[in-house]
Amino acid sequence: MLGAWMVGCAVLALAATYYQAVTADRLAASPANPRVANVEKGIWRGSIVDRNGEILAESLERGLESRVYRGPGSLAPLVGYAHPTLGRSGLESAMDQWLAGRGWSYSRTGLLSTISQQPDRGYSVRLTIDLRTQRACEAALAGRRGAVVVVDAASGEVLAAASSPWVHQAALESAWDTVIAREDSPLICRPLAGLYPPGSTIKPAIAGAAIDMGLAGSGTVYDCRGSIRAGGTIISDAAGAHGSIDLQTAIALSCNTAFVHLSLEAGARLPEALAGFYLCRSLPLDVPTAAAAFSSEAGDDVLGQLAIGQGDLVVTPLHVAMMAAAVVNHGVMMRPRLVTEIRSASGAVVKRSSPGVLCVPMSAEAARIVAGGMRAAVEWGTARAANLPEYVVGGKTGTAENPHGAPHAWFVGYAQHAGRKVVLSIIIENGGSGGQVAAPLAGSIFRAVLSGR
Amino acid sequence: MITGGRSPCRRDAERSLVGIVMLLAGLSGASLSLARSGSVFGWDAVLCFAAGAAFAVAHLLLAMTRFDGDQVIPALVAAAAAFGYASVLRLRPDLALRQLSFIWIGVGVMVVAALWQCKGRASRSGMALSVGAAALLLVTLAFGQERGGARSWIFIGGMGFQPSEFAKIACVLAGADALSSMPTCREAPSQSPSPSGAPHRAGLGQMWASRPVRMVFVIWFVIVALTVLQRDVGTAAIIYISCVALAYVASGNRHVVLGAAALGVAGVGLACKFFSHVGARFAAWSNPWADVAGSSYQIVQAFYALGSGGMLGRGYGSGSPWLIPAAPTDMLFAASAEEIGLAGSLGVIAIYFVLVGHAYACAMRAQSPRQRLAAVGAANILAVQTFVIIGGNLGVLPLTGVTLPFASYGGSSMIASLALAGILLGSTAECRSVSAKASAVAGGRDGVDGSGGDGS
Repeated sequence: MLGAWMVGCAVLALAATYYQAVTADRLAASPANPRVANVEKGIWRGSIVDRNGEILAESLERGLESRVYRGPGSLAPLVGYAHPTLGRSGLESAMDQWLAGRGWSYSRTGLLSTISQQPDRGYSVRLTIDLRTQRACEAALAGRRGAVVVVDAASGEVLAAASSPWVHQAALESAWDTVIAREDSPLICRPLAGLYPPGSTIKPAIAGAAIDMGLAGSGTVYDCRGSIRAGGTIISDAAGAHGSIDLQTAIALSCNTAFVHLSLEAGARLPEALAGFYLCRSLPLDVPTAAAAFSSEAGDDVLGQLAIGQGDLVVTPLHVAMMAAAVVNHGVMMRPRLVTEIRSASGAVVKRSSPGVLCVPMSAEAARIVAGGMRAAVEWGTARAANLPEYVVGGKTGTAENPHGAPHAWFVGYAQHAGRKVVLSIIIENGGSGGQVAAPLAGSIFRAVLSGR
Repeated sequence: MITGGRSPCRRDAERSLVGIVMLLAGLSGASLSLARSGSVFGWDAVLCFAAGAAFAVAHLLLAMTRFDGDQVIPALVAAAAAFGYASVLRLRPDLALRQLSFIWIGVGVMVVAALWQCKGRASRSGMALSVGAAALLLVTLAFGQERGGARSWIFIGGMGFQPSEFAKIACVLAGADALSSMPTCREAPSQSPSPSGAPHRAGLGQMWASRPVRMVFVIWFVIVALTVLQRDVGTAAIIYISCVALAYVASGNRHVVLGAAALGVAGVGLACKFFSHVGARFAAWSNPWADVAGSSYQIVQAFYALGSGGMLGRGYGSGSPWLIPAAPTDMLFAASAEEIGLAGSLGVIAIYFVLVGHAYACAMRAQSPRQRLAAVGAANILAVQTFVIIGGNLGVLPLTGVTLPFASYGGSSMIASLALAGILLGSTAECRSVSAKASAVAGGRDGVDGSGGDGS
């Protein structure tokens, strides 16, 4: 009898420990816990501001009802919403702990929180986003479906992340059902969560990998005959045979044959090298990003498609921009950053982010050669439409076949001016040719970004 | 074990322990008062201290009547009651005075029951009480009112009470009377804890052959069946399991447990089939997250309260324990856990652990078979009820509408629990009427296994 009682009490003690220690944090912070909502009602939620302090989202009084959004529409999918019944999304969700004033572990403090009193004002979140750049991107998209990401290569700061189409947060509550039913998914933050085949914008990465494997260099020449067999398929160049070309020319002319050849030579080493660009994981950021994906098989068919950014390879516009950023940053990919600092209501900086290296996907020498190829593409190659005489611009176009209709028009590139290296990637969904549709838009955005300083 | 001492009548150990409990009760009241009114010496402190004071009065009464029973049990009961009173006061200040009066009445009943049981006056009254309880349950079934899904309340002039609470006591007393009259039990008083239980094991047939045992089995069955019909399955389960355990201790026969377990499972199956609320409770238990807004709302709110409390709790007055439905009665454990944390809830479990464990230990040293079985029966009820309701609060068992003994709000429950504590206490005392015969036997045995070493 005593034994049974001891076992029973042990079970009770273990169950209490499970709920009050093991799963306590999860239960305490669960949005379904009525305490969380009750606390929220008394909190003056912090604001979200751009890098210059311009307000993107702020609360006029306590509680979620008074939340107003002042940012441009193309930023709405990234900023997201915080709504009493719809819940939270985007930065409003990812930064909720800070915005709602429970940045530090909320549940474990126990007695301490009783003594120290919870703050009734949330922290404000300052982004790396530059509203002027963002507006230039929004203007370039001009209502077309697509995305633009602008990144500072040396610091990894995301200067703009435009997504189109969008629905303004204020219109969500009344139109929720129709918004959810829309086929063009206006709530998805395309720059960070949209997965697209990269098309030829993957070629700079393949080139970098090939150089580091010793398969190509500044002196090597490839003879392009206009088509090449990869396993069971024949991949050809629309422009016919390019003849004898070096690697930089292959980038400038986006020569499919040359890159399929390099890819087949690299064989199983290519998926490995591409994984070095973080291509099989999601990029770490302050909001969740979609993970790029590709099959790690090394059959000739797969390798051939990989070389031209087709097949099962999909990436986000942010990822395409970060790969180009590694090229202009001497082969070093910086950790992308979206939040610069967290401030308390009194203005004190509670947390500040600093630049960090994410990975080193290629050598500095390979990066120099690839950057030269991208410069050539803008000067006289496929990306001529992005050229700006007053700045050093390099880039790569892409025209990505997809099952949803006309090909996606891509451009990824960099512009250098006064020591700044700004990287941009733009995609117009089903826009057609990258060189004709995406490249000229990139040129206009570069001009708007760099002329302002 | 603190049962002897230099002068048993002074009850020194009990005085110290109850004093400590009173101090702690006053402190918890003071912290509650501080959280609510900003002053340490508010009404909350006074009320908590007054709840503890009931047990100080009980101590004085027991000492005055030269009661020589156990001294730890009253202090542990006082600790459980003090914890419960602070929690009820925190949740429902409007019920505080009622609960205080229940504690004082209950403590009075406890002292009377202890003295009554110790002097052997209660013997042979168990069956009469049980028949009365069964009749009362029948009346409740016919004219009672429904509260929380169970038709277990009788209202007389605005005051309601639950006869099933008192049926528990009747079952224990009747069981102790009848089972102690079995020859096997009479031959070997206080020897069942010996490892070689073989010589005095009673067969099922042997038990059934004894007329009093047969009678008590029937009355137990009737009371359990009536409680089930009231749709109060939790209380029925408590009575059933406790009585089966009592029969097992009295007979030493494992078949009793096995047979009863099979019967119990069949009974639960039938209850699930015929009572929709029982099936819903089982469903809510097996997957609480399936219907968070519906049938498992209560248990999920309990989980949130437990998780929000964390290790050290949010502190008295800082949580939101009222978010759990039925917080002051069924869900008292989970509701208080938010504010006292894991540290506090383990402490609460420890109080009951030591209380029941100590009760079993005392039962083994009881002077007569009847006292031994009465102590075991009372401890069984307290143990099963505590496990069922704390386990229900923690999701270990399906949630049932029973109270945490000595702690939850409720007059019937508080008075019945304290009466059980009184029976337990009385059973540990030296039985004056039989002491001349029993002391020789007990003394001899104490010398053998050394468990009575405090008498040096």
